[in-house]
Amino acid sequence: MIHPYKLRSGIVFFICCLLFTIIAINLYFIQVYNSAFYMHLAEQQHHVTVSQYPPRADIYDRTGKQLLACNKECVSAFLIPNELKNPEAVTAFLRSHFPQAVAQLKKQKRKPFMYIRRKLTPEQVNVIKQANIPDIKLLTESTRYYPLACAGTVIGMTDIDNKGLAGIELSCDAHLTGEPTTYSLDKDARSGCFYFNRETHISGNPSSPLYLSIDSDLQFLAYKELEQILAKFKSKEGSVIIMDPKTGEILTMVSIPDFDPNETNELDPANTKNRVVTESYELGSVFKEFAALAALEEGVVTLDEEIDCKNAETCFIDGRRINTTHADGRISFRDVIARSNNIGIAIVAKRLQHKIYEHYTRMGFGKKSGLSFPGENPGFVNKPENWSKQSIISLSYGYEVSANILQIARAFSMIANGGYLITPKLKLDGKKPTFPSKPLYSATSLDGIKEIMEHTTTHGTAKRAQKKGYKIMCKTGTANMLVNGEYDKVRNLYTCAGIVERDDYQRVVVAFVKEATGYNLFAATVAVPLFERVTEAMLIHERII
Amino acid sequence: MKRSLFISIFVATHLSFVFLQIHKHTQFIKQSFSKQKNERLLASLEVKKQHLTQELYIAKNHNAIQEFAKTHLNMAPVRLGQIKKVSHHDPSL
Repeated sequence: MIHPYKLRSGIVFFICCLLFTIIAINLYFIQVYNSAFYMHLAEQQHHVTVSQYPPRADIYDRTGKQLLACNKECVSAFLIPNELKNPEAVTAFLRSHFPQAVAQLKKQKRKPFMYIRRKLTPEQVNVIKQANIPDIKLLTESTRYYPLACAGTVIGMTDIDNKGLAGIELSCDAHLTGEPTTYSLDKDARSGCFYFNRETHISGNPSSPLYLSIDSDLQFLAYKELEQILAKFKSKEGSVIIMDPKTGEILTMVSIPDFDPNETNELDPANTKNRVVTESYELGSVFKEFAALAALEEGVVTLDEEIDCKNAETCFIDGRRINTTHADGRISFRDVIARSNNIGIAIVAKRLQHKIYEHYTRMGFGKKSGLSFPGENPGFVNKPENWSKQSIISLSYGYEVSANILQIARAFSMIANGGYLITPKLKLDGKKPTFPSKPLYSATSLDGIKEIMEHTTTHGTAKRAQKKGYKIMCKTGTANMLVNGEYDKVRNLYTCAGIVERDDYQRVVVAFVKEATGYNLFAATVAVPLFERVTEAMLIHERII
Repeated sequence: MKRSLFISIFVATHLSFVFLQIHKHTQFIKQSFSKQKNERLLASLEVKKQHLTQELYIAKNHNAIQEFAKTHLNMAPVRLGQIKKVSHHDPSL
């Protein structure tokens, strides 16, 4: 007979063996049979691969002290649709505060992530916090802040994911974003946001701040002057550019209509254009300056040569009608430009023939300036093979040729700096500007054209631009706008471009206004006052006194 | 006696090596956590700095300053003709 204690111990032993067997089988399944699966799971938990973008770089003005764009934190709301604990409460809340998200939630019911709204206002954040619904979560994201709203068209903006959309933010996106660094982190279940070890897999490039040639104070001053002139003449569009002709640095680039990059909720995309570079216009008489430079360079005219301007406001050359504002008789070529006589310049341009096209393209018209600004309009110069009998006449006083305001500033810079067509610069890279080995025009021709421009300021259409103690060399232009295939005599473009000099100091200023409202308006009454006010603000700001 | 002493020293040395290794690892993790805490603190301070920078620029807003100067201080824009350059050698000074 078996003793009961032996039976009991036998049962206990058997149960223990059975349990150990079950454990062993389980261990076999975990360690051997499903080892690959569990190893992968453990790897996932212990090793996390993270790609981290450096913060988007700041943008500074030329002083290096004034920020033009920087980062700021904003709050976004999200939920995890496939893990909602209280879907009714969430739907009710969304219906009353974020109705657009209700339909989105219906569509994305099984998704693991859904944004309710990004970049929330402080009021919206408060509403969410007060509702205290655990399913609705908040996260902080980085966004951009632009301290100088009047530089909006130059700086541009970023999209909701902080990628450049317009302006410098777009053209320098790679520089501002940097390259992400990929890390492998060793963690355990309790380490939370901490890690035990970090290894760098792919080393990225940190973003570095960008310094622009823009002078923020001058940008603001020019913007205010432009705003006032546009308000005075009930005009909707205008631009101002200030450029250093020796380096090509753009100190001010203002265009209206514009936009505030901090307020992009109801944005008109047309207002995001930097019209100084994205729009090209037939600017009229400003081009007489370039036609005159071409004529002087080719030796087909001298400053003192008397040109017969027919003493009429309208005359016919080669059967083509030419209108001019004032009737002039025989006047010197210097006065032809100063008085902006269309008949006189057309007579001289006929001596140039096809060479006028070569000269316009040599001065940078019809091609991009090299600024690398998004959406630059290269403008247009009518090619000789497309010419009609009218073309040479039109080209002499700024029709059949279109240019953006930057190209005009660039061509004037070429006159100012001794004949070098310099590439305009918005970014300060510390490099010295590279000049071609030979100037494009001879010193004699450039001195001649400067004399004509000075004469235009002292005796011609730009008298209001004069400043005692400074050498101001200007040219004005009033051009009819092309509307539905015809030149409209009421709707005009008004331009005043010039060089401001004193000792070694040189600046090129271009002031432009489109469609001013008023009777008998010319560039002398619209664009020259703007030029004068901007120039004055610039001289005071730069302490050239 | 000699043998037991040798074994004791051998074991003690190995134990101390093991202890030092564990201590080193603990210290490493401690320092790593401390570094990570500092990094997080730095990131939060960076956010604060951004916030303060934004507030500073709102306060420095050109439009607001111009408006304040015009309305509260009755200031007007200076014209070029109103500026007189004064030399240090000017006898009238």
